[in-house]
Amino acid sequence: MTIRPAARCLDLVKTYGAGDTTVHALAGVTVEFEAGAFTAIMGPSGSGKSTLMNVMAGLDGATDGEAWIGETPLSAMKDKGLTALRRDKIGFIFQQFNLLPTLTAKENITLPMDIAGRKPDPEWFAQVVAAVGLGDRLSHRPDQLSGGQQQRVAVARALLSKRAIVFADEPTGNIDSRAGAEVLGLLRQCVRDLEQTVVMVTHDPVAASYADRVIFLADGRLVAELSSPTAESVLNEIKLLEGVPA
Amino acid sequence: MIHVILRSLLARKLRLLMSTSAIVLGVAFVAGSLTLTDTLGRVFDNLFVNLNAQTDLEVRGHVAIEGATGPTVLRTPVQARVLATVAAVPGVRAVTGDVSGYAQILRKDGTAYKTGGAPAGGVNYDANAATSSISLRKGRAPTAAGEVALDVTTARKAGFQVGDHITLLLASGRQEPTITGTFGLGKNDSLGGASIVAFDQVTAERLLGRPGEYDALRIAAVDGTSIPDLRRRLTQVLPGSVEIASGAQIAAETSSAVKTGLSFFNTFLLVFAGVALFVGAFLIFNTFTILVAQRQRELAVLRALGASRTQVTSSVLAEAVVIGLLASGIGVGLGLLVALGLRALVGTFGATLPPGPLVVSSQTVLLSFLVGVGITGVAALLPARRASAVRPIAAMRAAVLPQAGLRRGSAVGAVLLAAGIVLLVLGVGGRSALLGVGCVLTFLAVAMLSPVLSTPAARLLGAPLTRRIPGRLGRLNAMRNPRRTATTAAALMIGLAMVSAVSLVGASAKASFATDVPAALAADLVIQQQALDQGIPLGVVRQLAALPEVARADGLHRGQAKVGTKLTNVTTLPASAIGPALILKRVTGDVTALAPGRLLVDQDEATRQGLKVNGHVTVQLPRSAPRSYVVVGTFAPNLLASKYLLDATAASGFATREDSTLLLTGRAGVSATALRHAVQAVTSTLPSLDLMDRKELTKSATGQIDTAMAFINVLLLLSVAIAVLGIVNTLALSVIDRTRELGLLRAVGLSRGQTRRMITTESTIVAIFGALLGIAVGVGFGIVLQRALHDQGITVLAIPYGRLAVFVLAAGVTGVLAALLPARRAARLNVLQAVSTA
Ligand SMILES: Nc1ncnc2c1ncn2[C@@H]1O[C@H](COP(=O)(O)OP(=O)(O)OP(=O)(O)O)[C@@H](O)[C@H]1O
Ligand SMILES: [Mg+2]
Repeated sequence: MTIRPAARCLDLVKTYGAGDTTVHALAGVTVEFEAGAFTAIMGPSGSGKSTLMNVMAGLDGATDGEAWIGETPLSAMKDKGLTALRRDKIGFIFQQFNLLPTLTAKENITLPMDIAGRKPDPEWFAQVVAAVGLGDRLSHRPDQLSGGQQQRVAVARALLSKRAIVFADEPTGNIDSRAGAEVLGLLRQCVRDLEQTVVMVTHDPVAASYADRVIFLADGRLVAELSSPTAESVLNEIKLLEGVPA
Repeated sequence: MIHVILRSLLARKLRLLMSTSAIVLGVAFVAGSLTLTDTLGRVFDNLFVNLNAQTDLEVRGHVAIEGATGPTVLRTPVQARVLATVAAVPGVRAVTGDVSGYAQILRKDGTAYKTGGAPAGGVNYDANAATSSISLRKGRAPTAAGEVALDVTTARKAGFQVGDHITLLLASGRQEPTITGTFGLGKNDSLGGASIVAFDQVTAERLLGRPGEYDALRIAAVDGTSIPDLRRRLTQVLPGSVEIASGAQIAAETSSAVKTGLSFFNTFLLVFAGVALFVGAFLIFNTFTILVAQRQRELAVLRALGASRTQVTSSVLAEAVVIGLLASGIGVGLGLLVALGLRALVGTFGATLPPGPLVVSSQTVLLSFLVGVGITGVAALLPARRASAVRPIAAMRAAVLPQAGLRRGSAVGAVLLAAGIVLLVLGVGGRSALLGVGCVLTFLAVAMLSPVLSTPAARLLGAPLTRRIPGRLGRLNAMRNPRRTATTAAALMIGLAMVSAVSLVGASAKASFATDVPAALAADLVIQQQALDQGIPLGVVRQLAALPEVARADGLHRGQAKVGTKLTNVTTLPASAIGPALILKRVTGDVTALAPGRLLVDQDEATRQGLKVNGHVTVQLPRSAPRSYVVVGTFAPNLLASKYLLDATAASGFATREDSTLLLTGRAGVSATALRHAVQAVTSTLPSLDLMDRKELTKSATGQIDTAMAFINVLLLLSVAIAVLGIVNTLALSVIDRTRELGLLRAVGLSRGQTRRMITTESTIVAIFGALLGIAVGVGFGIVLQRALHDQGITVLAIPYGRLAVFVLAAGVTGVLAALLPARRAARLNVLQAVSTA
């Protein structure tokens, strides 16, 4: 069985600024994100993790190289196409401020489907809500929810519309470790039970250990990768990479 | 501290500019109208001083009706024999007896030369250099019958040259003299646009005046004579029927009378300035509230670092003062342009204003700045105090500003509303000051109550728009911050309330005419003078009555008189006209029993003055002694009648001899067209007359109302336009407030178009909410005004539903337009940056 990647990129370059102040946030990255897998991206601060994710998700354009969501190349797309792609194919979970303050949890979850003008399948909705454990909180507004609950709403939102791929940038960065564990377990479970593809940026070796694969970035390049990671193996890899002179 | 404030101002210059536009405009109106007043004042002072420079003393009659005032106050005439008495007094070098009268000039094509409200008159050509203010410009002075001189401005405008024949309509008939010369008045080319024809002294006395009477005697003293001494000598020999005034006194009196006449214009402009400033206060309030909310973190840090509440408050207030200073500065500059524009506008209405520089007094500038800075400061006071209520702890949290409960505001609002309504109801009796204060209170009250209304209103108004997500989100945004929505809408409310009230009064006035004209007029045709202050020569009514097609021709004469102790207008008419020509609705007594010594009175007026049938009241007309009249009947308010009706025989007591209005009734069997043709044959020789049937009379009256409404509405629309800028401003600020949300929405797939639609929905909801509030308040005001103007003849209440519906639609369109820029900005947001905004 050939595994089609849910997203991939080839020689992706992203440069900020010009002249003396040029920053190579991505200096030629080639990577594939397998469908139905949970991939974690790690690396020191400023190594280009968020940039990679943003370019892959069509939130930002690449300077050079190409990125694909499924079989769709992103570089040729204009705002309209990218918006449609984000609406139909991609889910997001940000580090914080994921929810619209005027909408209830339920409305926030169905927001992308509302935007697309589609009705959620009630059975699937119930299943997702049950999975994220928000059944009794659906009519609350974000300011009435804890940080962990808010992140779980964001996860539910990303899952509900069965996106080809979900990008999460440090989704547990702003909540305590127990709430974080819940969110991570939830993502893990979605990948396993629902065959959801998830790409997550994280600094935390424990969080990374929930993934099927970890890739490591440094100075805008892919420098290492680990399959079936554990917290220890990730930590070791980090130590190893830190020992390598830049 | 100052540079921190300035920097924070510079960072938001465009937005502040928008929110101050109302203050700029209001100040411009204040500065403009005050400057115009000063300028006109100076111009007229100079003009009249100049005109009276040759007059050392003047002998004139007493004011005909005691207590009467105004630019054309009537005085009793000076008997001709007094002239000889004066001339014989030692120290008098020259004395001239002035006469004047109606003199309408016809252009060469036979049409009337219109002065646009300024007088059209004839005078004596004073050829005596010692007393004359006339200065010959071309040709020579008229010296015999069949010769006249014309003022140089009229000659130029009407296209007459020295040597031309000119046709004149005088009270005594038609004349076709030759123009022998043109003249100026002192150094001036014109007397405020009046057309002046000068006859030689003898001819003037024969054609214009009443035999043996002068308007006044102007005296030049022998050089070196003491004027007070001369005055004393004159007083000893003159009869008690005359008084003496100095040239300077006359100049001051005339000038101040003219200025009083123009002051309504000034008041009118200041009212608009008030409206603009009131709207401006709302915008400033709203802008500062939002800015303070946006800066709450920064303010909290200041507080955490040890700044006192007073320091925070004054930093915000200082910002307001700087803005107020800037806005006032721009406003004063703009005000000078406004003054220039208004002077030109006054010019197009016909009055020719003598040229002269604008008079910008330091008082005007000071007052403008006080008003501008004051209003800005007051409007920013509450937001500033709220800013200082931010607790230092807020620096650590992303907490929202403490929203003081809506309940207290609503309670105060409810009390204010009650007070406002009471004042309005009391004001219906005619006390306009009460009405004004009532309006302001009601506006404030509704503005305070509107936050309670805004959320349900937005929910309701937005309900039809919720099928799609942009509409749903827009509606939620309109509901999320009741204060912001309400204040933004309130600014629009004020303008629309005024426009709606004016429309309602206009519609009511038109409806009143439409019912009152047929109700008051039995005659087939009405003839009126186009020029306001002129009449119809007496010969015309006799000429018309003689036509075979005409059954009756009745002349109505309207003029000032003193009834009891009150100055008012009275109308005289032939008693037999009541019924066949003029319909009077009897209330008490017998309205057909009019005769010399008897009068009829409007029922409302009778009630107010305590007059009853068979009661007595003293009436004094300008040219006759006070006389006691018996009230024989009262009638319902009538369009063509004044409050008092007198028999035609009393008309000789009026200041002028011309009729004001003619009513013509055709003989039975004569068709309307035949009647009209016959009448036109006579009136065509009098080109300044309007001939109208019932329909045309209604139309002409309603047309005038339309013009007035249009003029008022244009000025009011300015305040609506400012309020729309306010919506733009609020939306722009909201877009900044919600940058992260917008980024999030765009990240999860909201397209640019959907983003725009979301903002547009919010804008439209706010605009329509404001419009509905405004229309509700405006209809209330309109009804109050209609009641208050009931005696002025606006007897029918008509609510212009169609027009009000158009206002709502227009507000909706305005909402869409107001959203254009903010929506574009929101749609263009860089998604990534928006999401990562701290
Ligand atoms: N808008 C920008 N303009 C200029 N430089 C940028 C911009 N965004 C990112 N960079 C630079 O690109 C590099 C990569 O940034 P990126 O945000 O991808 O790092 P990261 O790996 O996500 O770091 P962190 O773990 O701290 O989030 C950094 O050096 C950063 O300074
Ligand atoms: Mg990052």
